[in-house]
Amino acid sequence: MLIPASVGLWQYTVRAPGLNWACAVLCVILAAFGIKESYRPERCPGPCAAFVLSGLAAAGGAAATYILAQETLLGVVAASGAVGLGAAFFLRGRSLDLPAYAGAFVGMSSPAVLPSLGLVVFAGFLAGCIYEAVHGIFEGVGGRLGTMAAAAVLLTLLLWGVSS
Amino acid sequence: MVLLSVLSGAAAGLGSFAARKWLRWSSVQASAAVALAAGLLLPPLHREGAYLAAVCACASYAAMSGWDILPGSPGVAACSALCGLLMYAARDCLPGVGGRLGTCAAVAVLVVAGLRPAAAVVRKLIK
Repeated sequence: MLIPASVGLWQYTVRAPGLNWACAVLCVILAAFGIKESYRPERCPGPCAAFVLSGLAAAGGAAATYILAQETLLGVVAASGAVGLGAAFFLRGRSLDLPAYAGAFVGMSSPAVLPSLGLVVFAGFLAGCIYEAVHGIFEGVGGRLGTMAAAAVLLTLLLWGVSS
Repeated sequence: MVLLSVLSGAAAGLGSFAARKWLRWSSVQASAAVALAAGLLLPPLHREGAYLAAVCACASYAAMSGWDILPGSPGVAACSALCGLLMYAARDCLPGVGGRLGTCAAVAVLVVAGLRPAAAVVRKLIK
């Protein structure tokens, strides 16, 4: 959760210094209290099969959103909503709707950031694995799935940048 | 634009909260429905419609919070309005990175969740 938040905070403070620093510091202090208040220490990662299933669901959600957003006139927000609704109706029974929705957030990435479908699928799979690895931690905090997605995208960019 | 961002965020958050509370939709269903509606309706309606749709989606992610984190509609409204404000302030941050809206939503939820314990600490320091 701290990876994307830190990158965003750094960009925020670097691009617009001055009063923004005060707002950023206030937000960080309040968020620290919020983390202390809402932290759930029960980490209960599932078995290996759960990692694979969540990864596949997230990769599918990412690919579907990316294709819908780039190949149709829906736009990224509506595409992620459509994929999320599909996941809620078809995958809820297998408890895979949440990782698929996390994958949908990965698929909202711009082609300038993730230029190929392969990278999107990889980042989606990574988001599903992160979801399973931190299962139970910060349960119930809205935006948790999106933060995992952002972490997965940033990690993919890091790995891709290192390998290319 | 800030006001429009805050208002649309609050409306989307409350809409998602209402769908979960009264229609008994799951958090994914409610958030996805609000995001889909905002993504389809707002871009043709307003010049900055795509940005406002993103704000609505961000607020709907914040409204996915558990009842123990954001228990009532005032908390959800405050958090969703903060999402609108954060989205406006951080519009140049993490451009094009998927999960950016969710990160904004998580920060807003944690800030709102931290208000009460922070106020308790300040009260204790004043005494």
